[in-house]
Order: sequence, then structure tokens, then C-alpha cells
Amino acid sequence: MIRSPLRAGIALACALSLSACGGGDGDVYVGGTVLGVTKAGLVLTNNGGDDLAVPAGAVEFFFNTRVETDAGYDVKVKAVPPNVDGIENCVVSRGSGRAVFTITSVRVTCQIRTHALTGNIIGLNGATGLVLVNGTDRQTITPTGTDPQAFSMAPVTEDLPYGVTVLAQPAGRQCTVENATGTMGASDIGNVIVRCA
Amino acid sequence: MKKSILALCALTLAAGLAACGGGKSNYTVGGTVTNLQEGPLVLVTNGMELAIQPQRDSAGKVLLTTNYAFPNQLEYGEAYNVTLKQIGTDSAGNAVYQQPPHQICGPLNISGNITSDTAGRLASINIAFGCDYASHSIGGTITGLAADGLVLNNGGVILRVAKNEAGAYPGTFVFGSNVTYKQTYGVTVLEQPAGQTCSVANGTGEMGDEDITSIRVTCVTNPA
Repeated sequence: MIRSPLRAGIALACALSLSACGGGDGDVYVGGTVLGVTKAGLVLTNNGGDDLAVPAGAVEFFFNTRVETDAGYDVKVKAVPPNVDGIENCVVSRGSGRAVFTITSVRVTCQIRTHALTGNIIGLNGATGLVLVNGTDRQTITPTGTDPQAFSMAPVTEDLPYGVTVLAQPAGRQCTVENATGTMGASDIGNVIVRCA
Repeated sequence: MKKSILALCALTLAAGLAACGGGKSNYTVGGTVTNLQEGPLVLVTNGMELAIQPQRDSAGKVLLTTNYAFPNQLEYGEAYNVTLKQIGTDSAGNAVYQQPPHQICGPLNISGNITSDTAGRLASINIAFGCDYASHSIGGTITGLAADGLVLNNGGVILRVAKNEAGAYPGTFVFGSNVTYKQTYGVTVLEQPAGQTCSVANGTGEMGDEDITSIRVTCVTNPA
């Protein structure tokens, strides 16, 4: 039995390198970016565990537990915020792979629920040329001959404000909008009135 | 006999040299422009000026990608630097370039897209440019505002109007988000200030080539 300092040194080096490789908690962070998270409730998992609650307004995330170098990662959605309809509406892309260095490429995109924004036009009287807008949404109204005449704007994302205004007046008539503006709640808005005279 | 060996040598040498140069000593400077909607986009390099119009399909619809190529080829080793045509400098001394109508174009910021190099270093010269319709701010004047709480809305983009640093209610406003050329805007009052009623005039339009400063918000105090 030779008690050599060299052998002790080798043992120490082995131990150090092993711990560097990650005994228990690994050393590679797994994360990425999120889009469309305006409310709390999104919960992500990595390899089926390590639940991560993503807060409202977050744009990026990292799991609390790091994975070992060369280990696989697999990010999935466990729960969605209350303004998203079901797990299928928060989509993970580039969600799995092998962790070699810090992973920031996972992308989770949540599609927030939308609701209809509709109303009625009173007194259009067959006139053409009425154009209604809600921000960048533009709807040209073709008279149907019914009075009142129903109209629809593009659907509005839940919790976002809307404001219906007149971009162009119909020929020979002047229209104003009542109940024009508000914030989209959890159900459709149908009370916008465009009154023409 | 000796002669034919010499000839063979010469042929081999010539073939070998051609292989070295890739058989090419002239280079066309060209590439792509993504999303050019209306022309011309004027690019310049090596004394050449190229006015690019968007390419269209058979139905006349503008294609997402327009190809371009400068007319004169460059020699191996000749330097090039493709830019938009410069038409002046701004007050800070930065170059001002001629842009196509309603749009802002420039080299795409992607790796490997090199606008200035030496002909022959790359097998072919392919420089990518991209365009977007320009966007401009919307805003205007506020008169009569005397209370907190006014919130203006443009299709989901809101602007909270609060006292300025001097402690006064502002007489003008500008939304934080710009509106792209040809897109519509429609400003409404989402929330009224305490004890006042505000209305919007001239609040709806289609964006042109200038900032909109003509929206008028008028506030009056509610009768007691």
C-alpha cells in the first residue's frame, strides 16, 4: 500500500469533476419567452415536474431547477390563465431537446379569448359609404334595406378597450355612435348603436 | 511529340487556374427586397444607381420578395458598398436616404447579410433589404380639462391623461403607439375625468405620411 499524495490528488480531482458534472441539481437553466400572458394562471412543467407559475405580464421564464448537462428537457403547459380557453391555446414551440448550455429558446404563446363586437345601425335608409372603425379594424357597411341593420366589427380580445367611430359618413346622411366605447369583458358586446339621420 | 506534351501542360495549367477562380472573374451585385409595396427603391454601389420596382404576379399582386441586380458586373477583388441613395444629411450629421413612397427600407438585420465587401470573397453577392410601411403618431389638443381620470382609447391602445411635471393639465396629447400608413385610427373617450365630460372631434381617419396633430378633445364641467 503506497500512500502517495498523487493518488489523493487524483481522487480529489475525480470528486471535483463529478460534482461539477452535477450531482442532484444540474447546472443548465431551461427557459425562454412567453407571449400573451396578461393574467396569472399559466403553469409550465419541465420533464413532467418542477411546476413553474408564470406571473401576469411576464415576457420570459426560467425553471427553478436546473437540469444536468446533456439531460433532456421537455416543457409542457399544465394550466392556462383564466382569459385563455384551454391548454391547447397556450402553444409551446421548441419545447424539448438536450440541455448543453443555457436554454432560452422555448417559446410559449397564449391566445387570449376574443368576443364579438356588434350592434345596430338605425336610419341608414339604403345609403352607401358608411365606414366604421375600431382602431385599425375597418368595416365598410353595405346597406341591406333592413332597419335597424345589424353590423359586426372584428372580434376584440378580452380585457381590451374598444371604441367604434365613423371614418366615412354614408351619402347624404350623418351618423353618430352610441355606446361606442368600453372594455371587452367576459362576454360579447352587442349594444353599439349607430344612429343616422 | 515534345510539342504535344507542352500543349497538354498548357491545357492542364489553364484548367487548373480556371478551377482556382471558380471559372469566374466577374460578379453581379444583387439580392432581394422583402415587402417592397411601392417603388422605386433606389440602391447605389460602384457608381451605379438602380431604381427597383416591386415585382408582381400575373394578377398584378405585389410579391413578397422582389429580386434585383445591378447592371454592371464587378471584377474579382473590387470593393462594393450597397446602400440606399443618400439625399443629404440631417442636423446631427447622419445620412438621409431616399425612401420609396410611404415606406422605410434598409438592409435586413440578419447574420451573414453583408452590404459592403470585396467581390469574389463570397461565391455570389446576395444582399437582402426589407421594407415596412412607415408609421406616424396620432395626437392633438385638449381644452378645458380640469380633473384627473381622462382615458383616451384608440382601438385598444389607451392613453391616460394626467397632470404634467409643472402640475398643469396638458393642452396637447400624443398616443404612445404609432399608426401605420393606410391603417385607420378612431379615438374615443374610454373614461371621463371626475366631474367633467369630454368629447372628441376629428378623431377618426386613415394614416397618411405625416403625424396626426388635429384631434381635438374638449372637456366641460358637468352641471352641478
